[in-house]
Amino acid sequence: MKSIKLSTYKFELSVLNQNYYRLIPVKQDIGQLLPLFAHQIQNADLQGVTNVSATDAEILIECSEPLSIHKTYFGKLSAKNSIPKAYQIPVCFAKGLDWKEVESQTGMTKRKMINALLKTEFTFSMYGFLPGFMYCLGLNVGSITRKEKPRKKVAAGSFALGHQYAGFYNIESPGGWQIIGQSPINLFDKSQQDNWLSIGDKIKIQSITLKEWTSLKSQNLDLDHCQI
Amino acid sequence: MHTSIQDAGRKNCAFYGIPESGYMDTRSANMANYLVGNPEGNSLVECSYIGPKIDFGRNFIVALTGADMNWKVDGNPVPRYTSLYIRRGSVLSGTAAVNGVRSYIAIQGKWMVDKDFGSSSTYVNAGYGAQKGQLIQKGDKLTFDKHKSKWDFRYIADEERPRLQSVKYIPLHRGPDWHLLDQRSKECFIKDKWTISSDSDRMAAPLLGHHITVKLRAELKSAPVFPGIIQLPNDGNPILLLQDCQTTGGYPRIAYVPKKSLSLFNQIRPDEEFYFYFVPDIK
Repeated sequence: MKSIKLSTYKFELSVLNQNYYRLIPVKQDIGQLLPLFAHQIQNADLQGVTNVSATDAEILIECSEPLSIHKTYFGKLSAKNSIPKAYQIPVCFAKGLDWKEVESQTGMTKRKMINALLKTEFTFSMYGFLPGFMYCLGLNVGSITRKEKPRKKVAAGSFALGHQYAGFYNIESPGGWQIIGQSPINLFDKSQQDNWLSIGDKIKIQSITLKEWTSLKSQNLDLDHCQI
Repeated sequence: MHTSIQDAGRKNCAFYGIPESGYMDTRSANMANYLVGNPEGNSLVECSYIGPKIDFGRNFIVALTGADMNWKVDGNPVPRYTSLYIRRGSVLSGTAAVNGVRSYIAIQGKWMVDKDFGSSSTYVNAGYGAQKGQLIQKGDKLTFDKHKSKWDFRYIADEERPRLQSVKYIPLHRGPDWHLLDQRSKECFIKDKWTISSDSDRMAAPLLGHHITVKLRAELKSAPVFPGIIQLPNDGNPILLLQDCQTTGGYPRIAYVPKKSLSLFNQIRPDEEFYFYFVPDIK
């Protein structure tokens, strides 16, 4: 195991069979910086790199040939977000499926919980899992346990809670988080890559009725529509 | 049981949660492209379990590799692993695979296919890739740039073709969370025979065999995963992630099959038994 600095933070570097390089922070509390570093590494077009992914625990660099580790390059990575954009995303809480479970886990009523959600300014922390799944931080209700048995099908746009995150499912997929609502917006339009979220962007939730959900859904709106 | 267009997959998209997708058996796919003189990584038709029927609207150079689907042109058997000259108006047809799972059909020329994020690989769940991200349906048309066919006879020598019937041993590396397994599970993983669930798809193959238990149930943080990783969900039944798999996951990553060996693994049928064996890590 080698160690290497990303910006000024120490990481342990281990290699899985030449193709995969794992970077794990020595101190656990810098999780939010990992996707930020991963994004810069991906955009740097390093020789042989075919994929870079990250969670708040680990960065994984996939390579088609052994990676040459330039210490100076990794040391120069920036730990600062770009200037955040602000969004207001409509969510229909009446379309939540797991309110009972969330109420019992948090000890809060649905109404109190919705109030807390609407007051929260979320920070977009990373994409991951499946195309466009958005991990957002900011809600302080403790860690939410996943469903014992994941659902086989979760609808696109579903707004859900898992661990310390709130998240949006942006394609229909299997999923284990507690679903508390659904957005009518296409938040990950493949033809609008320039409008995807950047790490650190700010998100407020706007509560909408079922009727408003149906009307917005029929307009086929994308994330651009939500920017403030 | 489906047919889709695949190429070498999407690169540099995992950051957005977009799976790699691409050929399930890269080795057979590369041979198919070589046989028709297309570049490595070119689009191909990938057939799982059963071969389609294709009408050819003009003369084409074609090659068939991977699983044996009793390929015929106009009712006459044609060989795999060699370039074929198929005349305008001819019909290529396949049956259920008699060995292996996946077949590849290479067609010489520039494929006019939809691409998303630089790849034509079909990823149905998000509708990415060729044919608007959908499986090939009856009546679909594939179109090619107009070009003159270049006939250059090529074949793959018998001893270089993959032996699909004798797949019995799959190479394995210990994963980042291997140490979580108890001693008995570690031993069983290697000693015992395994099969693949018939629920397998391009996303994952649930492994049927020994119930694997952990020394200590650790609540793990989500971490990156990739095709080849074996995850261990709480029920103790391991799952091998494949080309269309998610990019991050919260279950222990107990082991992984090296990328090169997935070609072999992806030709194993649900009724065939196999074993894992450890190969040394290359650092």
